[in-house]
Amino acid sequence: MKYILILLMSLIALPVSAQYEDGQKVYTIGVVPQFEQRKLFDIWQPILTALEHELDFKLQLVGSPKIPMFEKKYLAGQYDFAYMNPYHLLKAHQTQGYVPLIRDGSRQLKGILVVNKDSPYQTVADLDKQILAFPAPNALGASLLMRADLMSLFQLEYFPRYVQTHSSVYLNVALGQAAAGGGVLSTLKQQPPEVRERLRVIYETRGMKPHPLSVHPRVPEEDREAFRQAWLKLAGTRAGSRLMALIPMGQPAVATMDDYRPMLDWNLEEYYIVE
Amino acid sequence: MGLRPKFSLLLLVLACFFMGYIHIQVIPAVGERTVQVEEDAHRGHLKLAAEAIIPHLLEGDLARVYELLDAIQYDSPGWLQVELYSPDGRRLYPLGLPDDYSFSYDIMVLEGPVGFLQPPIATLKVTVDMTASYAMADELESSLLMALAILLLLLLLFVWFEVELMIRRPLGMMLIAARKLVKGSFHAPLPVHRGDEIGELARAFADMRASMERHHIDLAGELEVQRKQTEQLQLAKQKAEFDAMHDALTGLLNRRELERRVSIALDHVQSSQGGQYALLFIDLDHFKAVNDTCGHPAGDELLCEVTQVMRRCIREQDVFARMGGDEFAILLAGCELGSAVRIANDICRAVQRYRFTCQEQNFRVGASIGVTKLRPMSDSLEQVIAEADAACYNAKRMGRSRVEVATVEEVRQAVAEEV
Repeated sequence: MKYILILLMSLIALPVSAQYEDGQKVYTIGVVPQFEQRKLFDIWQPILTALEHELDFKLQLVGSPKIPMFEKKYLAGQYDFAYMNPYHLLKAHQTQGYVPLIRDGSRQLKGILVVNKDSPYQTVADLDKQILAFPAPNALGASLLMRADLMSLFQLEYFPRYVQTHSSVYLNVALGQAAAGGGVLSTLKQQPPEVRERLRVIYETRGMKPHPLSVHPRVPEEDREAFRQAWLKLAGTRAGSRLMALIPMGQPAVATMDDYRPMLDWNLEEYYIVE
Repeated sequence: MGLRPKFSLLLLVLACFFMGYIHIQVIPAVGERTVQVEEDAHRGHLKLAAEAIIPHLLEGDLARVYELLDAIQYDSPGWLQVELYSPDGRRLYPLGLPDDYSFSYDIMVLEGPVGFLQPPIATLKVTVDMTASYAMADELESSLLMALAILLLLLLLFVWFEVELMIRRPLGMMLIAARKLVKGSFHAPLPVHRGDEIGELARAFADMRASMERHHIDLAGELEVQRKQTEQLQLAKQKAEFDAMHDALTGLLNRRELERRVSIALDHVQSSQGGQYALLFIDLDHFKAVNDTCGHPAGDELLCEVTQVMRRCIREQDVFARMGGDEFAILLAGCELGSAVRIANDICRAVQRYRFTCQEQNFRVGASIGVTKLRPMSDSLEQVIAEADAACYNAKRMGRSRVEVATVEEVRQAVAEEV
């Protein structure tokens, strides 16, 4: 709690533009709170420290306890750099002009729909008027994109139940508390075997490029480029690769706005639920 | 049976009853209560666990519920198994039960609702290992029993000592005092300083003893007075008896006693046992001259001195008596007539040699002695005395200061005089 308070106070003190410390520029970097704050810092701080050796500016990691807070901050343009999900990028681009710099080039982000292994459901259509579990309304792959697919592609009528986390989605399905649940493949793989054994994937959403590390347009082009190069250089090392795998970002690649533009046609905005 | 064994037996019986009651009624209740407290604690814990998972269960956040229940089970070592069931009876936690879902030890299964409404949103069930609780209850029972036994023992010892000090010892002191009192000792210690009833009894006993002692002293004084009086009476009696038998002046036997002795001797002579006795009858010569010249006191003195002179001539066992005035008689036991005559002559000579000085004058006295033998044919005492008296008279008549044996003539005369 003390840690969070210190973070909040430091956020309030943040100016919109870059700070200077000991004559060096300092850029802020925000990370979507997929994990708890401490874990996020454990993953990101070593990477930023390594990057700083290659850069002539400093990077200051700024955390947010919850996703809505993170959203408000990037919509206000408080982060110089930000690691966010693709949908966030679309919104950030629209409002502040954030552009992607780096993304994981090794995979695509997809939502999956799981049912109980012993259940009779074989297709999405079988889930008519059933209870479906989702982690949070706006979780991109597991909830937002999945709901968009179910409604726009299958016109499925269902009763959503938001159960906070991916693990809860899988448990609800495994224990028969929900007919199906939305998740992503990576979190399904993290589940214990006894949960996974009870689940069956019946649908995968349309694919999209994974989370980009984007930059605010106020950051000078040379700094952006220096950052991108430093990142790619670090990813080329074994130690850097190991650190980035934790983000997760298996194979960092250059990201452009074109990678995410197809998503604009999916009308995800309609399915976004303001909390 | 004495007080001590009686009271010890009573205490033992009471202790047995008490320990029996404790063992049957109290200890099991304590054990049950201990287990009940443990059970209540587990129920309370179960309720807390149920409350902790309510919000997450309402949100369907089963992962969080799992985390919480894992943590709760981890933090509750006595909880062997935690299970969560949905209202329709489906098990929500854990995903799978272990294959060996049976417990060989003492277990207790508790169930509690999750949620405050009816029906509850789920049911939480825990299987609790009660082995430690039962062991603790057993240990508590044992400890309590031991503590109560020790306490009881101390209490009994205290009571025993109190009774010993308060009742038995004072009674013992009083008993010893009573026994000593029987033997005449009035000073055995008594517990008179106590303020209770026993002290009161001891004081009453002491008062009674003091009273008895006073009476005893009075009685002893009285007895002493009586004893002295008896002694005086005895002395007076002895004196009277002596006086009755003796002559007041010379201390010799008197006439009556002599007659009694002569009578006994005569009986002896006349009995089949036999025996030889001689009777000497002595009359002093010229005694009257002393009496007349020097007075009666001088006469008395002379009589006493002559008595001593004559005493030296006879044996201790010979009976020597004053018949009255200047007349004496001697009964010689175991003495033949010849010996009696010889003795009489000795006496006669001794008296002749004796000189009495009075008022610067020397007086000579003599002794005329008549001797007779006690014979079986002597008829009576008076006859014997008369024989001796007659012989004495004969000696006086024949010139004084000589010895004469009673002749047949004199015997006859004596018989005649008696007749």
